[in-house]
Amino acid sequence: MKLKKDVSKGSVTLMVLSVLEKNDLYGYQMISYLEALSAGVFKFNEGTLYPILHSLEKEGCLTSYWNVVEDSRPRKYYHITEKGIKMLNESKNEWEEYVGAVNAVLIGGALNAAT
Amino acid sequence: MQLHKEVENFLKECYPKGLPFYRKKELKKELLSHIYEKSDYYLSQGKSDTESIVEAVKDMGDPSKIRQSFGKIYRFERLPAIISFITLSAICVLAFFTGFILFSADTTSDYPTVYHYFISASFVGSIVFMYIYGFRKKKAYLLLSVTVYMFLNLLTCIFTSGIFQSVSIGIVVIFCALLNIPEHITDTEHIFSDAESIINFGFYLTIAIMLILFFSGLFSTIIVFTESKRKKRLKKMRTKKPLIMYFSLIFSLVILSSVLFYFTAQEYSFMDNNIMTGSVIRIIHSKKGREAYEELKTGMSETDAGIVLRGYDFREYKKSDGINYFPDLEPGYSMHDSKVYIIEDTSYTHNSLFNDIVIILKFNDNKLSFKQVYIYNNRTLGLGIWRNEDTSKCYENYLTLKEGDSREDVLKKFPSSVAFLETAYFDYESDTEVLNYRSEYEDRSDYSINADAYTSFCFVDGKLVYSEITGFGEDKVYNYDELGLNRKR
Repeated sequence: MKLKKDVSKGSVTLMVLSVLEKNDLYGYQMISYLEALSAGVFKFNEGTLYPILHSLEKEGCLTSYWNVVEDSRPRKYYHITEKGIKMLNESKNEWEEYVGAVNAVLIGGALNAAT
Repeated sequence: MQLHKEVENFLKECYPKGLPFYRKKELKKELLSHIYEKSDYYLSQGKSDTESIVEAVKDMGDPSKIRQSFGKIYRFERLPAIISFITLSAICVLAFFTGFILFSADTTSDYPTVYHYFISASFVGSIVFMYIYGFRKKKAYLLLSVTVYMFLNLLTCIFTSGIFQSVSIGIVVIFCALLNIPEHITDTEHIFSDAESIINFGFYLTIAIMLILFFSGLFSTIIVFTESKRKKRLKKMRTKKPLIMYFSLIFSLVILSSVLFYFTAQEYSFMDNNIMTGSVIRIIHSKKGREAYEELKTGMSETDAGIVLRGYDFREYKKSDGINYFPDLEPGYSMHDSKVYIIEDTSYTHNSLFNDIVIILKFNDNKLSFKQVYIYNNRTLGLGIWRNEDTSKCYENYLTLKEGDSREDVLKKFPSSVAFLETAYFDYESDTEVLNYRSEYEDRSDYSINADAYTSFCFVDGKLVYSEITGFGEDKVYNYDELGLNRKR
């Protein structure tokens, strides 16, 4: 399933920061994680991930480093910074608030319909 | 590494214009890594090499959106490239408008030098910007065309700037000696005295350099247009249009300036006309003078002579006009019964520098009995780099001359440290060689001609038959009678 663009737009940053919270990851790996964790729901154009990563890096939420392993492709890993963690927490709260509000409306609407 | 065409095209579309090359390199590395990871995945799924690459690129999404996003993120990094492009455009415009200034550069003004340094510095600065901020490939041809144009200007400056005069003349002299031009030249002393050969050599050297530069520009144009055609076949014409436009603009500016220069050559000298390797105008005029001289035959009527001379752009000179073309120095010539024809050099731009071509004719019973041609200039004719501080040595040496002295002995007394050869000609009618030397007085920084000493020698069969010294200015005036000078012809 593919989410509608509007829904996924604001959440990509949150998800990227979220997957980076536990481990340093490179772009391709991140997309694989997001796809796997969302059970295939989040399947977006892969190239668009990189402007988001570069933007977060520019804001100081991420840092990056190249990891070149012999007989393997060079990979650029991203690491979340303190600022990134702070931003992630704020975004999480906003998201929960948003989701809670949406749920409340949806539940309220359902109750009204039932009565 | 040879990239797959699909990948190459995708990456090209991903970069915003003006992105610094190091940023491009970083993006390329990262995106390539991703594409090939994905391609490996597809390969493992049993797809072919090409299929897996194509699929991997397809998964990346619309490159134009990626480009827009990167463009927003790195907008400030693109700024220097935009500035450098504006700078380059400004240089192109400056190159065009300062072309005339540089072409007509004279040695006594600092302005061309300032212009030259300013443009050179801006130009080098722009190249550095281009290199760092990645306008290299696309704008390389623009740079090349400007380089050609600026190099031409630079050469002009080198051959016209004061300090480089000696270098340019030195180069010409060395070439003359190496190539044995003309054949009878065996040492530098003679080379210096044979002004015409050096002028001709300088002319051909300049033309050769210009031709090389022209063909370099032409070659680069062909490369650009050939590449454009190839790109058209690949349906990439859209991205190359600006390049063609820019190059065409610059090329047409160069052509236009050349045409303008050609038609305004009478007003703007090609190079400073006080150096021997310089003035094309003077060379052309000299050639006309020589040809006209050859065509004038003894016994010719005054009317016929006038027709011949007018055919070579000579006009009759009215003696009352002002300039005195050494009236008493040439054998057989006197102010009263001779006619003077000139081609006036109007190419001078500063300090009334000129090199007029003068033909003096004398008629007896309306039949030509005497003719003479020479270049008259009021400056140093290129050899003024050897300036003595005072004219006294010239005067002292002059007093030791005796009629019948050999040419060699006389010239030994007037080396470049004492005086320099200003004009030289040979009168074929009387088999007389006339050398006019100038010794400049003290500090010449103001280019005043006051107080210079002019020494003239006439040789027949290598023996001194006539000599004269003339002083100018308020400080020192040599009086012929008081000095007891030899005025016998």
